[in-house]
Amino acid sequence: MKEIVKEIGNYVIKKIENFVSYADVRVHMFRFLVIKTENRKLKEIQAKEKYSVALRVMQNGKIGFASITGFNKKSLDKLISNAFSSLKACSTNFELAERKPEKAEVCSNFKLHPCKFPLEEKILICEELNKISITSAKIKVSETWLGEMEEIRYFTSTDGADIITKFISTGIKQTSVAKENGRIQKLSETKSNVGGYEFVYSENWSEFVRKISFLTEKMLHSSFPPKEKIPVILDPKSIGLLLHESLGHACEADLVFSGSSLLKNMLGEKIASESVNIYDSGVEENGVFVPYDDEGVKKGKTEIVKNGVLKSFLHNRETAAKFSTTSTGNARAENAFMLPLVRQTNFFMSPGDYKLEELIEDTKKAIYVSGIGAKGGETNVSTGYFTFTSGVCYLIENGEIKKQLAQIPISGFVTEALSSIDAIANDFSLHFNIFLGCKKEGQRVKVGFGGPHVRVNKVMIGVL
Amino acid sequence: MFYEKIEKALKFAKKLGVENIEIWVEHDKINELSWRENREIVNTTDFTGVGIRVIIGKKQGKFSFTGIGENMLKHGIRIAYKIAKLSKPDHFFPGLPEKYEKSNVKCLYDKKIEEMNLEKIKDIKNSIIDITKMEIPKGNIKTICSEIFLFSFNQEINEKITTLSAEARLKCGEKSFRKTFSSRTFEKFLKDVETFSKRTQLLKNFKNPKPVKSGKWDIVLLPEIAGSVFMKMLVEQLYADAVQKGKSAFEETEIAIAKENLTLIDSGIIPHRVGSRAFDGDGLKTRETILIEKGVLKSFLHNYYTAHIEEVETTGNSYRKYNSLPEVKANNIILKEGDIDIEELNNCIFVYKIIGSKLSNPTQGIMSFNIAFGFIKTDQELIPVSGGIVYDDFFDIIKNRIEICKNQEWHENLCFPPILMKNVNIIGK
Repeated sequence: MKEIVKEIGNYVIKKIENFVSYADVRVHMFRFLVIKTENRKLKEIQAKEKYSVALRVMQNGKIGFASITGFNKKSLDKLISNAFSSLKACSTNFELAERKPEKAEVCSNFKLHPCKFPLEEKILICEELNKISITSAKIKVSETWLGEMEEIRYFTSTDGADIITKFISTGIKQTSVAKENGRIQKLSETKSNVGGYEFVYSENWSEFVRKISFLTEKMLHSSFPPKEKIPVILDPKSIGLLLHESLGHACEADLVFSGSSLLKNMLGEKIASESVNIYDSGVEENGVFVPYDDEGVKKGKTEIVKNGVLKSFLHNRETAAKFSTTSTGNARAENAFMLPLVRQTNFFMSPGDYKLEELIEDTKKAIYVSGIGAKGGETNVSTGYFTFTSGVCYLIENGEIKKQLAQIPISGFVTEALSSIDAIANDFSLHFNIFLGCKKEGQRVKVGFGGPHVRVNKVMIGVL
Repeated sequence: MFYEKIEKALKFAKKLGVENIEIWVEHDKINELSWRENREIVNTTDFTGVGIRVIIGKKQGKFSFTGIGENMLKHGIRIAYKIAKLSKPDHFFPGLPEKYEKSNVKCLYDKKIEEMNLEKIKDIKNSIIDITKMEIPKGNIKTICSEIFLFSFNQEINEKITTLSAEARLKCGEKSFRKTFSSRTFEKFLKDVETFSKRTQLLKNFKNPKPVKSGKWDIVLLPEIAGSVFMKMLVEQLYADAVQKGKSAFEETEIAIAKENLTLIDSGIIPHRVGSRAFDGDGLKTRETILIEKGVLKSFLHNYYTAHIEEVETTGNSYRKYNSLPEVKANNIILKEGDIDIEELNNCIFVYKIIGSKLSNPTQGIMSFNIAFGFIKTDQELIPVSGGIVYDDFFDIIKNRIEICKNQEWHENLCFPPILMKNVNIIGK
């Protein structure tokens, strides 16, 4: 595979290098397998392979871009001709920030490659878990999914960059629908893992699927929280979701530059409580694997908020040039059909010093918001107004977690919410979803999100 | 060359011993102009996607890939065959349709769109700015010319369709919001922009919005908002696969679920519209289906598979891409207009833009979204508002608290008039 992608890249680069000031080629190979079982039966096996090549050419400050699905020479020649047509139609002058042309070959950690694990066994595991997930007659629909993904990205450029990255991940998703006396509740949860089929043995998956069904059943009888202004304690997944939606997107420098982000004039200003520290990092345990971005820039760990103060935005080479800085390695594209945009990688809050038990004991009345079953959110980056639906919630009274509550929509204004954080626990976890990604301008990329447990005082909670 | 490859692939499948096979090929030529402030970038994509479905009795195996090399087709057939053999028989699976069929829909293809070069696409951007009289700091315009082919052992069907679509971030006062336009023809595309523009001129005055105060409010959902809320809360629950799996709030037809003023239709045969096509994902002709008539639920939406389970005729609502199996999806959705003139409505919130509607719980009827842009209209003034969670029982609203206004508008595949929802619960500042 390595030889094929290099051959494609070299063929294109050699053909054009004398006619451009700069060019880069991206080759993307993507393999995805999903096994879906439903109500004790194998429902569907989805196997997909996607291959794409992209060419970006630059001459006299203008940029042309084209992409294609075929890997043969005829297709690649067409790709070159399309890129030059785009270049001709371009009327904007672009500038890209300098970066060191890297040479690297990196792969995420795995022990048992998905291709070495027989399909028959994958089906058996998924079927077995699905049977276990049907915990009672109230569970009317149970879907158990097993997914694996292998992605190879190759980047080469006329200035000598030559990078291959390989990312292997696996995961399980459980969706349970419970029904009783006309009431229906649905809960869906995913656990994804960087690595191969060793993941099957790394966790008690029976307990995971059983728990989702159990919580779904309980939701049939759960009530809404009290109609009063009370704090929320967000678990690592919930705070990760809130940060990704409300702050992460607002930090993307393309939005900042166009004036769409509320953070446009806030660099160096206090936007959160003093104990809040937030990062975006390309390689983290249990996070997505982005050691280099789609412009060949090494993605390190970017400090976004330090002691409550906004320190940096997320950049690609183009926004970095506009802000007279260097790229933070955040140019990412879903595949080679698409142009890299400024995207988050693993966006998270670092832990504080409260023990989780102390944090809960220290709380008189609040809603504990777990990320189990939480739905993705949405944000208006220009106002900082965010919203997402919680996962399973619980009422905390006098320092104790009490009854389960219904899922609730949570909204607020990002700086107000982050400034109202008064306790951060010393735990930490990071999450991503192999089955889904974050959408921006029609592109979905996998993102990691997480943090510790935190107590937030100023958010709005929807109740009937 | 293309047909030769397919022919060879079909022969290979026969040799392998598959009972039947379906090869779905999509070939898209896409020209795209995207811009942000003064930065413009042009992009050309040549895309081919192939979906292979192999049938062995009541079992099926599926594999998809991009590109269309001969070896890749064989590789795909081998994997799909292996998956089919490992799959469990699905006793409801009706096999592939005996005869592919097309409906006679006009204006699905526009030569002007296929031949539009990148310079002409730039002219469209200027036309949108001229018509809306708004700044568009960010957006993109795409022309897509798609050729779709469907093959099995003994038959084939194909069509060529075009799409012109634009996604524009329109600047209104201090804020901006995203709007998409999409049509199969150039002519209708510009008309849709004009219609939208007439109604939204007052957004230019959107300055210093205030959060909505908590309480019960009458709200007016403007056409595209009404359409998106109805899609999420109602139409997706009328998909027969959702009903059959118990994932819908509805189980049977011929029951009153809404006020008499509500009639809802699905149609795949309306000229110019992006929800129209000559054949669906099963290769069967598209048609028109009344979903709700005067408040009474009349039909669910079916594909070949779900229709077979209930022994009814398909409604031509099978939808697929090269990389997915046929599933049920709406074509164009039309809500019949009522007789209320929105100009005469007062003391209510006019909702122009929402976020977070996906956070609703449709099976429970819980409608939840945030007002991102709106105006409180009184008989004396318009007050811009932003922020506030609308959280209420959608089924109760359509049964008891809904009024339908005049003047439908098309927004992509949705044709809706404005809708008045009364006494709605809002959690605000």
